[in-house]
Parts: sequence; C-alpha cells; structure tokens
Amino acid sequence: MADRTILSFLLIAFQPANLLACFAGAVVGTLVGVLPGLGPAAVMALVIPLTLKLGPTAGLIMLAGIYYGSMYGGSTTSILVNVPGEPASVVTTLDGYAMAKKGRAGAALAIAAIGSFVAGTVSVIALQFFAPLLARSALAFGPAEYFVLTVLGVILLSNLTGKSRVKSLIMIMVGLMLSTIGFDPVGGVERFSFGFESVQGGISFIALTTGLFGVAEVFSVMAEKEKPMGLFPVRFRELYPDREELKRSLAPMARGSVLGFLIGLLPGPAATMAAFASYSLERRLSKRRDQFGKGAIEGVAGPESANNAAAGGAMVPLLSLGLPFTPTTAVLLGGMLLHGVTPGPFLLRDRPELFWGVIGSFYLGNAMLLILNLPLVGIFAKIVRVAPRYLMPIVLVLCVIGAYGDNLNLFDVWVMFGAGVTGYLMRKYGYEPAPLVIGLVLGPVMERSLRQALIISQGNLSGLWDSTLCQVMWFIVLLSAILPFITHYLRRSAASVSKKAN
Amino acid sequence: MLRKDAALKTYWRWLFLTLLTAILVWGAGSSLAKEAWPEKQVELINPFGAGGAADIQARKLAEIISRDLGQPLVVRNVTGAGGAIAYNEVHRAKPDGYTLIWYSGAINTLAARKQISFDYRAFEHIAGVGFETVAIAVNKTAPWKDFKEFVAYIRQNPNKVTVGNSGIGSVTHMVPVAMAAKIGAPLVHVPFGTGLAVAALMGGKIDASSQHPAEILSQVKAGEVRVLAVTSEKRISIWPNVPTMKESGVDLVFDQWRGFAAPKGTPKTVIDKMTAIVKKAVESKEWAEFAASVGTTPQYLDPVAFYKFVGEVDKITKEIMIAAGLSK
Repeated sequence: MADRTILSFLLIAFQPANLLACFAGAVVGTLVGVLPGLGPAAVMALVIPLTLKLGPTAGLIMLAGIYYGSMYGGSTTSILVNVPGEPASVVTTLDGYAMAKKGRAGAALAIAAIGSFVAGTVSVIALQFFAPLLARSALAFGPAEYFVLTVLGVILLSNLTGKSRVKSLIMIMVGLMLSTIGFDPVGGVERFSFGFESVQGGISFIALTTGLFGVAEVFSVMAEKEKPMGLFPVRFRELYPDREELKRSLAPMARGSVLGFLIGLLPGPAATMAAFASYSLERRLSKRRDQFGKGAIEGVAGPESANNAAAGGAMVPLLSLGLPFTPTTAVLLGGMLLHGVTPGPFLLRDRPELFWGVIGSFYLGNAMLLILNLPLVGIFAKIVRVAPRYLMPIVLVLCVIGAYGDNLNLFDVWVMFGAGVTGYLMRKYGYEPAPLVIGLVLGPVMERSLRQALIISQGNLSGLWDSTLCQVMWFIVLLSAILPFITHYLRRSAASVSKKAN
Repeated sequence: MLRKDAALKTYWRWLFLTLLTAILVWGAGSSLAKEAWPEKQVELINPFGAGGAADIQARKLAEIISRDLGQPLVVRNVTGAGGAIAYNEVHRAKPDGYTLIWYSGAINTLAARKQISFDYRAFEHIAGVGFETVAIAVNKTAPWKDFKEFVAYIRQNPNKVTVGNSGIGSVTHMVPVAMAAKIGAPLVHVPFGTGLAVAALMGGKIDASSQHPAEILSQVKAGEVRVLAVTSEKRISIWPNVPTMKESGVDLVFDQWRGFAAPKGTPKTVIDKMTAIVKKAVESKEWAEFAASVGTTPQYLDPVAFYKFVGEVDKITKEIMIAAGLSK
C-alpha cells in the first residue's frame, strides 16, 4: 500500500504541467551550464518569481531542473574550447579539450552526458533511500574536520596531472595565496586589495579560470603558425563514443558517482572538489596513466559523473535537515520557503506529494537531459572543425562575456586578460593552471575552518586532532605524504637487488 | 522678388515656430517622463546571498510591490565583504530611482567598522518595513532548561561558552556581544556563514548559535535544536513559548531592521511614490502572513521616522562595537 502511494506520488512528476516545468528547467539549466559566468544560483533566484505563479510542486520541479541541468552543460565549453562553463568543470578541460583536439570532441561530450545521467540517477536513488542516515554523518564534520580534509585535499591533489610535483605544489600555494585577497572570511579585515574596491570580495573565480584556460589557449593558438587544417569528413558514428571508449568509461562513472555523492554531502565547493578528487583517483587507478592529460576518456567520465553526483548529494542535508550547504541549495531553500514549504525531516510527512514529486522529477529530468544533450553533441562537435582564425575570436568574446557577466564588473575582464597572459607564460614553462584552481577553491575553506577550530579550542592546537575522525584523517594525511617516498625507495632497492641478481 | 522673400520669411518663421514647439513638447515630455518613474525595471540590490533570511523577504516583498509599481522590482544579490560591496555599488549608482538597496543593520555595522567610507546619511530613506528578531539556540541535548540557566552557566564559565554567528560584524554577532556585556561574562564568538552555524550546533561543535528565525525554522520544528530566547521587545507569533531576553532577566532588545533606501540625490517625486507603494505592501495581509511565517514583524516607518531610527541604531551599534574592541 505504502509503496503504491509513493509510486503514485512519484508519477506526479509526469503530469503535463510538471512535465513542462521540468523540461523548461532542464533547458534553462543546460544554457546556464554552457554559458560561462552565468551561475545556477543567480538564474534560479531570477526565476523564483515566475515559479511562484506555478505553485509549489511545479515551481520546485522547475528550480530543481535548472539546478541539475546546469551540471550537464558545464562540460560543453570545457571540452570544445577549453573554457570551463562552471567551476566544477575546470578539470574536464584537461582531457576533454585534449580529446577535442584529437577529433574526439563528440565522444567526450557524449561520455560527459552519459556520465552525468548515470551519476544523476545513482544519486537520486541514494537520496531516496539513504538520505536521513547520510545527513547525520555529515554533521560529524565540524571546523576541525574540514581543516584536516582540506589538508588531505592539498596533499592528494598536489600531484593531479602527474608531471612535476614541485611545480604542482607551487601552483597550489599560489592558488592558496590568491584566495586570501579581499575581506578575510573570519575577521572581516581587508587584505591585499590595494584599495581596489573590485577585489574586496576576492578575485573573481570565473575571471581567473576563463583567463587561465580560455584566454591562454587563444594566445597559444595565436602564437602557433596556422597549419592548413585537413578537413577530414566525420561520419555520424564517429561523433559518438565507440565501444572501447564506453567500456573504459563505465568504472570511472560508477566510482565518480559514489565519490561525488559522498563529497556532495559536505559544505563548501563540493562539486568542484568532487571532480578534482575523481580525476586524481582515476589517474592513480588507471593502467594508461601516461594518457591522462593527453585525452584519456576516463579523465572526462569520472569528474563529469562526480560533479553531478555531488549536486545530488548536496540535496541530502537540504531535504532531510533543512540545511543548505551550497549557494545553489540555499536558493532552493529560499524558493521552498517562499512557496510556504519548510524542508526538513517533516517535509516527507507533511507534504509527501511534493517530496516525491520533486524526487520523481529528478529521475525524469535526468532522462530528459540525456535525450536533450545527445543530439546536441553532433552540433557542438562540429564547432571544433571551425578554423581557428574564426573560432578563437569567438572564444575570446565568450571569455569576456563570462568574466564580465559574473559580477557585471569591467575590472574582472582585466583580471581575465592578466590571467590569460600569465596562463600562457605558465604553459610555456610547464606550470599547470589546474592545481592553482585547487588552491583557490580550497583556500577559503581551509582558512575559515582552521581559524574557527582554533577559536573554538581557544587557541589550543590540540583542537585540531581531538576527535577520532580528525585523528583518522591525520593518519591518512601522514600516510599519503610519506607513501610516495617509501614506494620510491622500495622500487629502487628492488631494482638494485634484481640488478645484482643478474 | 519681394514676394519670394516674403514667402521665404514665412517659411523660416514657420520652421522656427515648429522647432520651438517641438523643443517645448520634448522638454515637457521629459519632465513628464520623470513623473512617470518607473519606465523600466527597478533593481533592488540585496547585499546578502540568495536564499537567506534577507533574500526571501526581499523577493516576497518585491513581488507584492511590482504589482503596484507597474514595472518589475528585481532583486539582485551583490554579496561579499559583509555587504560592503553592495553598499559601495548603490552609493556609486546614478540617483535616478532605478537602483535601490535592501537596507538593513549592515549599514550601521559596516560604517562602525569603517569598512565603507560613508554611513546612513549617504542614502535617501524610503521606508522601514519591519523587524527581525535574533534567536539564541542550543542543541536539543543541551543541559540548560531555559535562558536563565544558560546565563548562569556563562557566568560560571567565562570565556568558555562558544556561540556561532553568521559573520563578524553581523547583527547575529552584535547580539551575543551585547549579551555578554550585559551578563558581565565574556563569550567565545565563532563566525560561520549563513546557515552553517546551525549545522555546527547540531553536530555538537559549538554550545549555542545566534541567527534569525528563518534560518532555523525547520530545525526547531524537527526538535533538533531549542530556542532559549529572542531579542525582540515582545515574543514572536510563530514561537509563542519562547521568552524574550528581557523576560529572562537580560535587559537587551536588539533586532535586525529592514527597509528600502536609494542613493543620495534621488528625486523626491520618486522617493514619495515608492514610499507610498512600500507602505501599501507592508500593510497588506499577504505580507503580514508571510512575514509571520518566517518570524518577522512587519512595521512601516515613514522616511523621516525611518531616518531617525537608523541614526539611533547607528549610535548604539558604535557603542557596542567600541566596547567590544571591534571598532577602529
């Protein structure tokens, strides 16, 4: 009986008005994802007045559609032109763009869409069955735990691309330093802004990433001699991933979904961190480690699944505890309150039709987005074949719009160009921008949680390792810091032993 | 020849007259246009993040106001630096009535801490819309039965009790600071972002948290946290069983206030029109019901009274800040 009512509530999503709301949300969301500088939180806030006319169920379905739709579109510009549409898609540029250069843009786009679908669906299932349980465990993380987690992040992600560990660490440090610009998150003191009002709130993340990736790429192409491009005809089947690419993507998608969902439970830049963590994990596990950064499909499948799953994970604390951990879920919470709905443990009891209707729309929306995105792959993939002398100016315009659109501030455009020049030089000397982004994303969380933890323990350093969870994580930190040296030593001694034996 | 000259003269005369009329009409038209504010959408800059207590109220009120305004009143979030970025933007904006600020206690705290180079006197006050109380909450397992017990515990353990707020300098920070001063025993203030103090409270990482009712509604309803006291003059309608601080023996009344303001120099006609529309919206039944549901008390203040009120809060805020060593 109970199951039947749940099913009938789930089917509320299929009522024509809700179906339409879901579709509209998904389309808008995809656009938000594709266009850099247009964030889901801002657009959802804009749409709220419209949803008030639709009523709570349809309204919330539409808002949710924008929310996960934006996670689908984010990878498109990363793959095609090296411009991340969302912070969570920064890591997709590494292998996605490399694949596009090799003529496999279609495959990368399709895998990103399929990965998003798999992760989206997995996270809704997890949300439906484990939400209350998982929400509790997320509460075990306080400031001290977050701080250790960010330390762990710096160590584990410092070797993201497997090139030079030293250069990578330098870049993370630069990122951490850049993140201290503006009003400090705890004391409210202005730092390193040199009187520029525009950086009081910190350096614009979008301006920096479009510069480091997009504009730097434009400069690189400009610096190259234009080669006569051979127009190789692409057949329909070649637009999509082949059997081997699909097979190689399956495990990364599954791992990315689980990893992303778990990271998504935590506050902070969860989707971005999930994508980075998944990339790092896949590179470590892969037998084709040398292919990473040169167009490994696993490097697209994992992170793109992970950031979508994180979006699902972030719904857990919202729906089961009423706690918004991300800016986007905060807007969803605001939307709910405006509709007279209070999320939290009683949502399911008081408004089952709404709860299950929205969950149902998640399933539906994911399927819709897959159907919507796959045909687009064919159209988007052709963009790569446009000659650079036409494509690159368009990319530059896209970057300018993205950087400006974030805060409607011309200063950010200059930041973007500055970052573009820096990014070009960095690339010439083998410094990668991705670790810098990690530093930039982790910096504020690291600083805030360290200072909060120390305030709580009244300056006592032991506050950083008082809880068992902290101790376990510190142990992992220690292990991952030492392990590379030990394995290196063991390998060397093993090699010398085998030499002697010969 | 002569006749041709005369014809030319008439022609020029006609042209001159027509032009003069055109200019007159144009001029009159433009002055009429000013009367006709708003001709395009009006932006309401909200210094705080989308979805928070300030934001949902701004959006609900904007929706009601838009109906009478004839043009949409659009809420835009300009966040960061405790609101300084938004205030700077509106302060700089053309005073044409198309950029307004969702005005609140942030103007007092930002000015007191010199995070902005101006204060409330740099704005035309349109209308005050209401007060939002601050709630002191503890975990459901906390040993203190009521606020009195909590205060006694703080007295016995000075500098030990941790209280979360939504950021240094915010109203949710001012309240525990002023509370500690009244009690005579210092607290440990832990700044979180909006909503995150509640999570830390539920996870048992801090002893108490300070926030607006809207940010803790569902956790209270679920019995995860208990509200020990509110800072308003009277109890609020959604929580009739929660006493005020005054009732509990701590003589402190300190609410967040909200309203509308425009940059200095905005035409009087625009302010007057907006004031009337805001008054109607604030006194509507729809707003009263919504405000009550999120724990806010609607209260219309006319521009003169509003200006005076904000000035008084400015003085009190500076006193609290200086006493706490937060003001330069």
